[in-house]
Amino acid sequence: MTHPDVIIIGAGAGGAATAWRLVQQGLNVLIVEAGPRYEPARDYKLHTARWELERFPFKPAAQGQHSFDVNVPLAPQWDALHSWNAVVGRLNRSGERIVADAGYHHVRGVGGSTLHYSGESHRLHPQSMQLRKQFGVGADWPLSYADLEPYYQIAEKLVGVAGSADAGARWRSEPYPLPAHPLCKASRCISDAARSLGMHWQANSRAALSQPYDNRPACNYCGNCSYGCPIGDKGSADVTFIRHALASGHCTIMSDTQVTRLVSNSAGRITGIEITNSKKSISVLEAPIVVLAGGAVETPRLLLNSATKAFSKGLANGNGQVGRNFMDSLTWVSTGMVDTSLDSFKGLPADAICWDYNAPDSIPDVVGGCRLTSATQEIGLTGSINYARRIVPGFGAKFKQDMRASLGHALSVSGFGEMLPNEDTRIDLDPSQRDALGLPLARIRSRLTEADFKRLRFMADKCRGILKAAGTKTLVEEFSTYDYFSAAHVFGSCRMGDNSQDSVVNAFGRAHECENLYITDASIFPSTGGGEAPSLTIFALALRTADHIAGEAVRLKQA
Amino acid sequence: MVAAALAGVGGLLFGAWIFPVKLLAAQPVANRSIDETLRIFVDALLPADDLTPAASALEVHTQIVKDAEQDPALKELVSAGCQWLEQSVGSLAALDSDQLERLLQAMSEADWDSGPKNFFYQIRDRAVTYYYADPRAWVGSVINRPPQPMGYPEIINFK
Ligand SMILES: Cc1cc2nc3c(=O)[nH]c(=O)nc-3n(C[C@H](O)[C@H](O)[C@H](O)COP(=O)(O)OP(=O)(O)OC[C@H]3O[C@@H](n4cnc5c(N)ncnc54)[C@H](O)[C@@H]3O)c2cc1C
Ligand code: SF4
Repeated sequence: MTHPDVIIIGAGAGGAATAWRLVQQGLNVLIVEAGPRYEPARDYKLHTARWELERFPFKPAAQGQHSFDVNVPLAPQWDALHSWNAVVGRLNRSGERIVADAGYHHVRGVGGSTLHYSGESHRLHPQSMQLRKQFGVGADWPLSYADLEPYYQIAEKLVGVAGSADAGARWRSEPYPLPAHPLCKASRCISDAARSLGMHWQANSRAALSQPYDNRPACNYCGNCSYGCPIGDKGSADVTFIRHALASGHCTIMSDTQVTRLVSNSAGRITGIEITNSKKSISVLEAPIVVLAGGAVETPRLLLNSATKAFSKGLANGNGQVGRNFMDSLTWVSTGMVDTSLDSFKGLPADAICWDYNAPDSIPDVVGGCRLTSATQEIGLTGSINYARRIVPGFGAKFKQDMRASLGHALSVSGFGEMLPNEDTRIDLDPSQRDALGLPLARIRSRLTEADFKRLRFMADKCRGILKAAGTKTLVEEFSTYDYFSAAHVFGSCRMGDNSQDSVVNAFGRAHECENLYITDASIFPSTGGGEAPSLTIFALALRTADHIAGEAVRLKQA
Repeated sequence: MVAAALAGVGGLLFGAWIFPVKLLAAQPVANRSIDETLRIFVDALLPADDLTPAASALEVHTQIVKDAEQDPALKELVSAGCQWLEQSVGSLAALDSDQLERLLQAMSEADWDSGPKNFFYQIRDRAVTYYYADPRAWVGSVINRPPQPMGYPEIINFK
C-alpha cells in the first residue's frame, strides 16, 4: 500500500479495532506492528506433551524490553498480604516490592496482548467513569457509558462475546450475541459457597465462543486460554478484528517493524513515522492521519522519544502529562484444596464472577471497587507441573502419591481492584538503559498507596472467606501485588480529558497538541474501573475514535 | 563414615552446612561425577513407583545439565552443590534410600540463605518441571493427556 489514509502503530486490542472500523468505512489502512504474526494452530502448544513447559510461546521479538522502578520497602503493617505458596513458603524474602517474571505481561505481535489474554470481556461500571465528580478522586471520563454503549455492542458482536442476561449496573441495549457458558464444577462450588455468604456470583462475560460463530468453533473448555487458543474460538484481536480487516482488502500489515520516532513539523503535525524493520533498515512512511496504539507503556515511550526542538519534552507533552497517571494491576488470589476432586483443571478460565463490590463506593474506607473471579484455571493450576512447582510440597515416593491425589482438587478465587493514579506511578524514559536500536527504554514506576493496601486486604478477606465456605481446609498459595509488581492490565499514561492542561488526548482520542495524531489503546483510560478487564472497553473506545477519524478523513480529502 | 555422618544429619546440616554456595572454592568437579550425583539426586526426588519411572529414566538430570551449560548461575550452583555433596557425605551412590531421604529432608529444611537449600530448591523445581513434561510421568494421573485437541467439554455437563 503506497498511500494509506491512516497509519496505525500497533496491532493489539486498540490498533486492531481501529483498523477494522476504518476499513469498513472504505479507508485504506496500514498497520505497523513491532512483533511477529502468530498462526494459532501452528504456533500454540496446547496439543503437545510439552504444553505446560512452553506456556505462551513467545517468539523472538514478541516481548519488549522495559526497566522498572518499583523496589520500595514493603510496608510492615500490611505484611499479612505477602505472597507465598506451599512449596517455597514466602515467595519474596527481599523486604522490598519486586518484579514478578516479565513484570509487565504483554505480547508484541499481530493481535498484541490479546494473543495471551484470557478473554474476560467487561463493560465498565458507569459510576467508575465519574470518580472525580462523584467521589472527588482520580479523573472523570470525558464521555459517558451511554456514549460507549453502542460501540460495546459492535465489539461484542465482532468478537462473539458470551454472557448472561444479568447485566446489573451495566445496562445493555441488546442481549449478548452468544449465550453464557455453563459453569465448570469448580466455579459452581465457588458460586454455591459464596451464595451461602450472601454474595451473588454469575457467569462471566467471555470472549470465548459458547457456540460456533463467524467461522470459528465453540470452546472445548481446555482451560488454558492464556497459553494461546489453538482452535481459534478465543476472541483475540487477530482472529476477529484483524481477520476481517484483512479480508476487506483495504488493510495491510507490516509486522516485525518497530516505529522508532514520530516525525513532526513545528506546528505539531505528524508528517511521517520512522520505522526500523527486523533487518534494521530505516525508512519513513507517510499518511494524513496517524493512530498510535502501542499500549500504555510503549505509547508514552514513543511520544517521549519523538522530541524535537519545537517539542523538547516530547510530542503531545507540552503540559508534561505524557506518562503520568499510569495505573497498573491490583490483584489478589488465594488457593485452597478441597477433599473431593472438582476436576478443577477443566473448564473455561474465569467463567464465574461476582460484581457485588465493583461500584466505587462498595469497599469500606476507600474509593474504588473490585470484582472477584473463579481463578483456578486462569492462574495455571491446569497441569502437573504447576501443581508440583507451587502447591504440592515434598519429594520422593510420598510426593508422587500426593501429586496424584491432588490434581483437580485446587480451588482458587481472585480479586482485581481499582487503582487510582498517584504522583509516583508513571512511565518515563530510563536515563541509562537503551534497546538494541539505541532508544531509551520505557521505565515503569509503580507505588502502592494506603488505599491500595486496603482494597487488597478486602479482596484477601473475601477470597479466603469463600474458600473456607467452599470446604477448603488448607490454603496452599496466595499471590498478591503487595509484594510483587505484576501487571497484565495497564492504563492511563496518556489519559483523555476535556481539559488540555491535565490530559493528553480529547474524548475522541485526538492529541491536544497534534491535530492528526490519535491514540486508541489503554493509555487513554482516565480510570481503571473496579477491576474490570480492559479489552472490551479498549475495543469500544477505538471503534468510536475510528468513526470520528473516518469523518475527519473525508474532510481532509475534500480540503 | 558416610553412615556416621548421616546418623546425625540434622545437626550436621544446621552446623557446617549453612553457608552460601558462592563461598565454596570453585574447584571444577568432573562432569561425569556431576552427572552421576545429579542422577542420584533427581531419582531421590522422583523415584520410580508401580506406575511411573524414576526421573533419570526420563533424562531429567541430563536436561538440567544441558540447562546449566547455557546458564552460568545454574552451572555454578550445580557444580558447587555437587562438590559440596561429595565433600559432606561422600558419593551419593553409597547411601541407601533412607539415608538419601534424610539428606534431602534436611536440605529442604535448611535456611533459605544456605547453599544446600538453594541447591535443593532449584534442582527440585527443574526436576519436577522436566519430569511432568513427559507423558510417561502422567500414568495413573487424572491429567493424562494434553488439553488439546480434545479439551474437556464434559465439564459443563456434569451432574
Ligand atoms: C496474560 C494476560 C491475560 C489478560 N487477560 C485479559 C482478559 O481476560 N481480558 C481483558 O480484557 N484483558 C486481558 N489482558 C489485558 C489485555 O490483553 C490488554 O489490556 C490489551 O491487549 C491492551 O491493548 P492495547 O491496545 O493497549 O495494547 P496491546 O494489546 O499490548 O497492543 C500493543 C501493540 O503495539 C505494538 N507496538 C508497541 N510499540 C510499537 C512500536 N513502537 N512500533 C510498532 N508496534 C508497536 C506492540 O508490539 C503490540 O502488539 C490480559 C493480558 C495478559 C498479558
Ligand atoms: S478454554 Fe476455550 S477459549 Fe480457552 S484456549 Fe481452551 S478452547 Fe480456547
